[in-house]
Amino acid sequence: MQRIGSVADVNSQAFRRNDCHNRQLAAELKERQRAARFHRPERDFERLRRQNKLFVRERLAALLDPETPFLELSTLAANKAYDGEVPSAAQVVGIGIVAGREVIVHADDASVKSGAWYPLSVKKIVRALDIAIENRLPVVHLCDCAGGFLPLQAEFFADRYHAGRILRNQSILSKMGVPQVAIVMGHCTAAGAYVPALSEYNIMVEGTGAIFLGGPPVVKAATGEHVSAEDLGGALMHTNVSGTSDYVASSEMHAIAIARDVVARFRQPAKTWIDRVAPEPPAYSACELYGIIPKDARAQFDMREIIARLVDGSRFHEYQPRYGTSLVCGFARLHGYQVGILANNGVLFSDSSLKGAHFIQLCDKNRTPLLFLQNVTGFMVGREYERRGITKDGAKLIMAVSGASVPKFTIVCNSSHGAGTYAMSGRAFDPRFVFSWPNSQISAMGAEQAAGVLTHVKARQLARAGGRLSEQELAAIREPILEEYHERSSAYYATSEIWDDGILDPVDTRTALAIALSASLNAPIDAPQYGVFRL
Amino acid sequence: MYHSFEVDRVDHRLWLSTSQQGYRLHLRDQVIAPVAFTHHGESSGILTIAGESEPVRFAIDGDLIHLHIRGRSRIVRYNDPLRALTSANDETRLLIARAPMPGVVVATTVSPGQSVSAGMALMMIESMKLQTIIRSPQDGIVDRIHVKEGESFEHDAELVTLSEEGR
Repeated sequence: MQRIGSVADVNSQAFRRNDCHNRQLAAELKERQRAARFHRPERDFERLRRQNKLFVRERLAALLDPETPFLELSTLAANKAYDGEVPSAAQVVGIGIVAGREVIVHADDASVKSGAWYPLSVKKIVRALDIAIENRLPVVHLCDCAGGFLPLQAEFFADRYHAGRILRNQSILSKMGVPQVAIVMGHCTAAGAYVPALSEYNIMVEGTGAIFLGGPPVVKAATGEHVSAEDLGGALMHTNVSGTSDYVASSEMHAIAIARDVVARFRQPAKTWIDRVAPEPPAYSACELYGIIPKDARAQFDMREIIARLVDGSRFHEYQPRYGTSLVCGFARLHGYQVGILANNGVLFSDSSLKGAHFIQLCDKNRTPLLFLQNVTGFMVGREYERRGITKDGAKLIMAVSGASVPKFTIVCNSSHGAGTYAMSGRAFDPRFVFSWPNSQISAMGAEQAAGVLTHVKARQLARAGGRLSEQELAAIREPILEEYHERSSAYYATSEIWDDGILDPVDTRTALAIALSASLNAPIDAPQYGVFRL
Repeated sequence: MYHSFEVDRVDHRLWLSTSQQGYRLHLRDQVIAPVAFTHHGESSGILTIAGESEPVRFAIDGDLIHLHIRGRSRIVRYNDPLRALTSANDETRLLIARAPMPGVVVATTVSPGQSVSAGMALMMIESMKLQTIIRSPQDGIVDRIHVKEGESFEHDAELVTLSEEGR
């Protein structure tokens, strides 16, 4: 395989300007993540201490094997929702190593609103369990949830992907033979009561852990019965009498030790075979990514410069280098694993779509996972392109992306707009993981274009009525649209809504992908099979 | 969760992690690498720590490891977290021996004031054509025997209460 010869001039002014800008973005990301993880009012920490509970981060540190990586997902979920008062959507989710096994950890964070489930908390838990199902990863639940946040119940209770889906996904995991272990570290009430009950193994912490469908106040209201939490659903009752729980632990650390011992009994899964050689670091430093990602999202750059800083030895076997050049396709290795990369070098045309669809089928037959590097403003529009069948060729690419059986991974590197988002394996196309870079923007249309279109429509309506808009009036329509668009197309908004699995500092992308790729190989890969391609 | 080993009554928390160059030993804030061990037979081998190799002989007896290294013998105890983290309040509940099923006392083998150790027979009961020995749940002194020979009792009834030694 040829090494990519980088032509980036690290001493140029543009490179330095980008570098400075992107380092700032990375620092801002780190700060926001740190705050979401650790920044809590002192009274919340005090309450935990009073309740004899550890902070969720301490629980996590004790659960995971020391000195192993933890890929935390959706750290900034809900950062733009609920007035920013529910950091990480009150949930910690990630892929980590427990007793030598890759697992998904899902932990309620009782330092935030006593761990209450908000609509985005439910979305985050459902997503965590979807990841477990797709990648056949065992799950460790650290349960400490006060119940659903009732004022917003209409947004998390009844629909298909609402809270019921958590219990459904748990049951499906069990049916697939993927085990779960739950530790009850606080009250598990109502739907939350079923989380430990539906886990193959569960452990209750004596004194603080309790499971009941209705807590003491609910029982009092319903039947008038006075009963203590311990008596109603405490650890001793459930392990000695009801059989709802399996093990009683005398402390949280004891419970974690039992959980680690339970996970150590899980079968070590045989990973799906894909081609692999000894890993090798890229020939160019990942730090140079900061200088390559443009400060101005509209500025074009060569995706090969990104690939050169992600893949083993910066080596890239480019497929059809002279055809459909706005989509770069080719093979590379990531930590030794062969991957097929599709990366945008401009807008999608008919030829680039055909090339992409063909390349996906090659990789699928070859059992080669796919990596999509998005910087796409959409498919080319215009009379000539429609006549040449841009829509039907785009449909082929979408058909191939949807049908591919090999694991797909998507990085939103810069722009992600229009049908380009879809054709490049957007969230709706079930890539195993989607990560964004902090500079990235995602929306149906670019902000400028959308503002232009909407202002144009308004002006036309007025023109029909014989009116005309002044420049000032046009600007008054444009500005709020632009502002709203910028806000809701930012990486932070996307990750707040859990449209991705988290924002990555670009330099961490290679490591995150390695963990994701390794996790994905716990599931078998189906034989290639596709729908009907419109030829 | 780090492993915990005790040497001369001092607790050491440590972890072995893998790297491309073999194992790394994490001991408190220190990282020692590479760490390797080659077996020479059942109970001896060569231990390599940060490039220095030493022959060691060892015998493993449950959680105890008897080590002979650099001309000295040491005893290392593995503190199993499952045992080490069980708190004392579990044990207070173990001061009572309860009936595993309804039945009749056939014979009592201890008397009040007698000191007993964990697992020692306290009484024999009969139930459903089975004779079962009730054993002491922990070390202690027999405080009270609740049911006399020949008398019957219900499931989960208290049979013998112990008190803790020296308290």
